[in-house]
Parts: sequence; structure tokens; C-alpha cells
Amino acid sequence: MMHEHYVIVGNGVTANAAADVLRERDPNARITMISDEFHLFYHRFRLPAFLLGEASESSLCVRPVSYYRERNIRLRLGQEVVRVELDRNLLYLKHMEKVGYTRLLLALGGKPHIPEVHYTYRHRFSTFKTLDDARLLRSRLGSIRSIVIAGGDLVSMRFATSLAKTGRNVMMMLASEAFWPLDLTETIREECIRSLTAKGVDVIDSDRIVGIDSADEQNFEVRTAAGLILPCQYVGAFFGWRPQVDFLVRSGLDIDRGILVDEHLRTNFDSVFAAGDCAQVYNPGIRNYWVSIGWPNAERLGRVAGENMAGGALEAGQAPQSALEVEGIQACTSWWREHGSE
Amino acid sequence: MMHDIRYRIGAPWQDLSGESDHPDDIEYIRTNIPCQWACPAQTNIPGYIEQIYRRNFNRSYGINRRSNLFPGVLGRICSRPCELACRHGETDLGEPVSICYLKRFAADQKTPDHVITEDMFPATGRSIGVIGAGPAGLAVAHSLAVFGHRVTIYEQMAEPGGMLRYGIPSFRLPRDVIDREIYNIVRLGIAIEFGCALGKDIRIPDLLQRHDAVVLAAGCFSPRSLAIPGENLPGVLSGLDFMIRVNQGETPAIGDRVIVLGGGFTAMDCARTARRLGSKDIVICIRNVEEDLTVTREEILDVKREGIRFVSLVSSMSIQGDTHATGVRFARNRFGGVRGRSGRTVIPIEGSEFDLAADTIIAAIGQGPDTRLTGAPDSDLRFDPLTGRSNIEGLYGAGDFARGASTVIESIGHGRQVATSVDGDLMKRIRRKKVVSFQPSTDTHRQRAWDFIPRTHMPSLDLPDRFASQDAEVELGFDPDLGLSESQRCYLCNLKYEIHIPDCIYCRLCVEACPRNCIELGLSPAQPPRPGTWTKTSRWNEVAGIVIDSDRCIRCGECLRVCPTQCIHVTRVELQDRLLSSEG
Repeated sequence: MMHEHYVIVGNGVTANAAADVLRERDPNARITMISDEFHLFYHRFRLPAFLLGEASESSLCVRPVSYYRERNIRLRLGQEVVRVELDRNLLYLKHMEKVGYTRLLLALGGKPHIPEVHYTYRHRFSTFKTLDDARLLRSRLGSIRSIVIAGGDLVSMRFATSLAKTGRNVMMMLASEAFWPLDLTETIREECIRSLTAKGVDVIDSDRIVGIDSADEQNFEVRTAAGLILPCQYVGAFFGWRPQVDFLVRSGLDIDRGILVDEHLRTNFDSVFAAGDCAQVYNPGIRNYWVSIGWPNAERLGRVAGENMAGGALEAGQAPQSALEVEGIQACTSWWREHGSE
Repeated sequence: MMHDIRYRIGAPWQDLSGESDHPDDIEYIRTNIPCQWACPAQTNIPGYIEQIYRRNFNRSYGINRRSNLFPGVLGRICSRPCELACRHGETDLGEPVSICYLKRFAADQKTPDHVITEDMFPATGRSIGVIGAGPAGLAVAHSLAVFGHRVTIYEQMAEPGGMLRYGIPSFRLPRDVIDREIYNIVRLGIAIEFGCALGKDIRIPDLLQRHDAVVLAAGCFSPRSLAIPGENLPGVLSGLDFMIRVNQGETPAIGDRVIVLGGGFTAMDCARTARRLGSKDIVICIRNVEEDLTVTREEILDVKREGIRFVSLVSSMSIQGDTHATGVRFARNRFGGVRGRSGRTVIPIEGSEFDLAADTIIAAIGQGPDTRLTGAPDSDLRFDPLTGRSNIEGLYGAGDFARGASTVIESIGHGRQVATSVDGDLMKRIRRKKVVSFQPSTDTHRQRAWDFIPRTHMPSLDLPDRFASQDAEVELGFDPDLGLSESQRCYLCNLKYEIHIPDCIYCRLCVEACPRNCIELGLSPAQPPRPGTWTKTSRWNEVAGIVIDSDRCIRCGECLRVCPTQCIHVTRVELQDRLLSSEG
């Protein structure tokens, strides 16, 4: 008898939730998880704490290797999917290996977005998404006295207030585009400014970056439209993120900003599902596509995807009602919510 | 003497020079030089890139111009079908060569004393009228002038260029570049009468009386209707009309908020022009998604860099406003799953309507030919899409007027094609034809490392400088280092590497040196010995032939360099126009 081979691309909360459900529903199926990161599934929301030395690297880990072994889930880390042939149920890894599947879940997450207006100096921005980003910054932190943060997603706020507490000069430039898929309303903006200022962050409002100069790639000067020149040692791009779907373009999948899926998280290929931050889910209630944000949503969608891959017909449900709920700062538009603080 | 390339393999290579018009040889070009085949004007792309790499910029420009007439123009605004076909962009081979930018590079770098030569035919005494001085009309006129005919162009606008001058903004295409290249066409003795509007100042029956043949190349200037309520309100502009007004020097008052409907080059031009007119909030609304747009990725990036937003998967349902447009009501779309030539079907979602406010709405959803100008009912005028012949004797159609809205390069390619058929009809014989030419060549000394050079991107103006004037050209062109480096990336697919089997000692050095596993061993030296047409083997006692799979070969030359018996030969295979003399 042929068993199903479920392949999950991704190793975040959505991917792991789906894997759990699939194992529960189908004890004999082959389950393979593929991730381009080398690290085990970790708590992204603890990265600022790790950066400041308040949390160890091992404490970030959500699940040990043994968890996957016990459930007979094959975990392939550090392996990047670079191409797909969805009509042949094939994935191609960067080292040219072909991986077949019977059902595929794309739980790719996103990547930090740097708006195109900053294209010419985009390489001078640093991003803070992965454990590797956090490790790199941690190694440089001693030489950093001033920081400019551009954008305004949740992680930037947590990041800014944490660094301000250490006595560093933290300047933050709010950018409305960082709040996609939500709108930065005047109320949210005022709330953000009040909260950040109270925590020692120097908020630069109604201005925008027009250039970043650097003499030695360690020290930067950020130029703004209002004529400010902000010297700093780190320029962080926190403009939110975009679904990581570049390698799927021209694959035949329906893609807008993310992968378009129906209310059952199924793509336009019957055997392919997508969930989490990389998916735009059709919601019959609001007659529109919406993008999941936040850890609890990602986990729930992972479970829905798992059920449906195993033959279920669950609906993804309503768009998140509380996307803006964040303790302290009322502007959660990022890719996780403060899970531990709830 | 015409040869058939199929029989050349295995023959002494010194005898291989010649030409062929055999369908198999044409097919070889289609599969092996995909860039040239994809170009509607069939420009010899590897040929001109090789000349850049050899620093013969004048020659490179000349090769280009022979096919497409406007290297400086097309190097800026071509839709680049060649790059989609470029072998360097195949899976695992990286990104396509920046063919278009190299075309401009050659035009920028050619020396001021460069002389353009034309293979002119003797005067025939025949007279031809061409209606329209756009890309198609100029291409027709140029070819017919080369054939020795007397050509008069009738143009309704005050200056020649058609869409080039009136449809494309000067920040993408400087006017001096258009002027220079048009001058090089009309200097062949082509007369242009300006201010001649078809149906008003000139009529087709009169022109047919006056000339031996008339070619209608009046372009597409009739905007497609939105067909939604409110589309005639003040504040709703057609994209083409908007561009024509701005290109004629007007500065229309469009307000701060602009919605552009449509996703083609004109839509992008309208949005970027609006930005330069001072609008702050510009949104391009498209029915499908960015992936489906036909404009280049670079164009989309530039649009976004200028702060213009895209709203995808929306259909306009009505224009809002009582006395002036105040916005657009949209419905959200979802894909219907059917894929056709024009992309995927989208279906508006019932009940998903939402409104976007705007001061001006620009509808850039395409345009068509205004066939009413001909004086004939629509159904009465038909054009053969290949030859341009119409159902009226002596009347031909070229470019967008005959085939519907297309790109500049398609118009030029079609114009040249139609000119050949006009000339053939007048002179009762074909005087220009496509042939495959093959000439012995030598190692190009390409280095394998060049295959890993990343694609060079176009340097461009900083954002504040872009908006200083309507005319500030955004793309700056390659400097010599960038251009030469990019030219090295081209595989030169016009070279064919062949193994002369009788000289081969089957040492396998070439097989081992080959980075793409494109050298195959077979059971028999089948004719034609192409992979897929013979039985491969890896058993040495069975091997009777060895062949290079040209479809996979990336012309790195490694096999040639390691071959101890020098049994690998290189032939330059090129699709060219052959002008046939009266004896030919």
C-alpha cells in the first residue's frame, strides 16, 4: 500500500503545527520538513532578549531533535528549495536533489521587506529576523552606540525599547508602509510615539530616509528628507516583511503578494497547500484575501492546513480581529505576537 | 551556393562556409539562438554582443541597425522578448544577459565619426506612399528606400516618431536619440509631409492614384473604452491622450491623487509622468497580479522606487462623482483558474466593492487602430498578418494598424516584413530573404568564469534628480567597464561546436571538461547526429559516434581547448538578411 508523503517547506510555527496534526491523523505517512535555516524551530519573539544576553541560545529552541525522531518526522535543515514542478509533484533543492510528494504544504514565512524607494542604499540596512541576524548583531553590539530604526513593526518596537534601556541612543523613524497589511492610522501613530518616547526612544516623526552614507561600513550617516543627518552604527530595516515566494514565481501557482489560497488553504494545485505568513487566504466573510499575522494565527492555520491535507475540509476562519493587540504598544503588525507575555 | 547544414557534420570543415535556407537550418536557429528568434526584427544579438566584447562598438551598432533601425531607441525602451528567451536565464544558468542595455551601450559608445552604410538597390522609378511616421512606417519606408523606390511618408503630427515621440515620456527616451536615428532613415531620400491627417487631409483612393502602392502604418491611437458608468466625466483621461499632451509640452492639472487603470508600459509611463507633474499619491490598479504584467521587472522596480503603489486583483466597476470624477469603485478579483495567452482569468467577487478616491483617473487599458479613417467600413478592410496585403489592390497595412497594439520592436519587424512583400509585388521577385549563413570560426577565448558574472543592472538617477524636470533621463547607461563585463556573459550561441568524428580518438577529455554534460556517445553516427535522434551508450566497445548537443551546449569552449587532435571545429551560424541582386 502506498503511503502519503507529506512535505512541508518551512520550520516555523505553522509548519510544526501542521506536522503535528498530520502525524496524529496519519500515523503511517512519511512526513518531511525542509527548512533553509540550520536551526531547530525557535522562539523568534525571544530574539531581542537573546540579543541583550537576557536569554540563552538554547532557551530559544521550541523543540529538540528527539521530538521529531519520536514522531518519525524527517527534518531536513539547511536545505533550500529553489524550484518546483507542481504538476509533477516535485521540489528541487539547491544541491539539485529532487524531492517528490503527494501533498505539499508551503509554510515559507516571510523575509524582511525593504521598500523600493530605498533601493540604491538597501545594502546598508541590517535586518533582524533570524537567529543568525541576532547572533551577528550580538557580536557587534559592543561597538554600537547609536541606532536608527526605520519602519515600525512590532519587533522594531520591542527591539528599540530594549536597546534604549541599555543606554544606547535609539532613533526611530516610523514608516507607514511597515504596517502592511494594516493601515497606520493617526491613533496608532500617536500611541506608538507616546509609548516609545516614554521608554526612552527618540521618535522622528513625519520624516523619511532619503539616503545612507557610509565611509567604513561600520559607521553610517542617515540622511532624511527634512535635512537631518543621523550618525549611527546600525540602521535597522523594520518595514514588516513580505511572503518569501520568489522561487515560486512562474511556477503556475497563483501568487499576488503571497500565495493565494482558498478558505481551505488549498492553492490552485489540488495537492498543494499554503499557510502562515506566506499565504493570502480567501475569506468568504469579508470577500477578500487576508494575510495571517501573529503567532497564534500562524499556529491555528498550520493545524487547519494539516487537517485539510489529511482529507479534512476545515475553513481557515475569520480574519484576525485583534491584530493590533500588543502589550504596551498598540501596534502589532509584525510576524509574531508576544506569545510569552499573554 | 546554398548548402544544407544537415550534411555538414563529418565533412572537412574548410568546406563548410556558405548559406542555406533549408527549413532544418532555420529550425536550428530557432532552437539554438533563441534570443535572435524571439526578436521580432530577428536582430543578430550574439553577433552584436560579440562585437562589444571585442570593443568594436561601431560594428556592433551597425549589426543592430541592420535589423532594427533604432538601436539607441530600442536600447532604452524595448520590451525585450529576447531576454525572456536568453539561454543564460535557463534554470540553473543564472539570469539572462542584459541584451537591451548592451544595445544601448553600443549606441552610446560608437564613435562620432561612425559612418552608416546601406546596401542600396538602383532606383526603380516606383513611388510608394506610407501613412504614418511611427516605428512601423519608418521601418517600411527605410526598407523600400533601400530597395530603390521613391517613398513619401504622410504624417498627421508635427514631428516624426509616432508613439516613440508622443507615447513615450522623454525621461525614458530622450528626444535627441529619436531625432538622430530618424534622420539616419529619412536621409535616404524619404520625403515626409507633416500635418496630413488620414480621412481629412489625405484619402486612401487619392494616394492609390498617386503612388504605385500605399502602406497604412497609422498606428493605434484610438483608446479602448473602460465601458463603465462615469467614464466620460471630467477628470477621467485616456492614458495615450495624457501622454500625447504631456509630450507636446502641456502640463495638465491632475491634482495630488491619481489612479491609473491598466498594467502595460503606457500605464507605467502615465504613473511616472504624473509623479513628475507633482502628484503625491499615485496608485496603479491592475486586474491581475504583478507577475502577470508584460512590462519588465526593471520597469516595475523603477515605478515602485518612485513611490508609486500597485493595487492588484481589482476590477474597476464605476467612476464616482457627479460633475467631476472623485474616485473609482472597484471590486476585488480572484483567479478563475483558466490560463490563456493574455494570462489568467480573473473573476470579480460579488459584494467585495470598495472605493478609492482620486483627483484624476487615467485609463491606460490599451488602444486600437481607428479604421474609420480609411473611409471603409470595418468589415471591408482586411490585412494579411504576415505580408500586410489588404483586400484592396496596392494597399498594405503594417505595424499596429494592421495587427493591433503591439510593441515597438514588433512594429519594426512587421514593417520590414511588409516592405519585402510590397517590393516583391512591385518587382515581381523576392529581393530580400532570410538565410542561414555559416562560416568557419576560431575559439572565442571565452572563459568559464564569465558564466558566473552576475547580470549587470542599469545605473539610474537618484530619486530627487529624477523629478527635477520631465526630461531628466532616468537610466544612465553602462560605463565601459560595466558594458564590457556584461558582454562577456553572452554565451555566443551563434557559434556551433562540432566534433569531426573521423579525427576523434575518443580520449574523453572533452566529455570530462564539459561543464554541462552536453557531449554524448552513441551507437551509430546517425544523420542528423543530434541527441534524441540516436541511441546513447556508455559502453565503449559499442561507441560509433560522438556529438555535442547544441541545444544544451553553452559554448564555453572547454572541449576545444582540451582536444588533443583538434577535431572540434567552431562554425559561426547566423540568420541574416540576404539582399538578392537582379541576377540572384
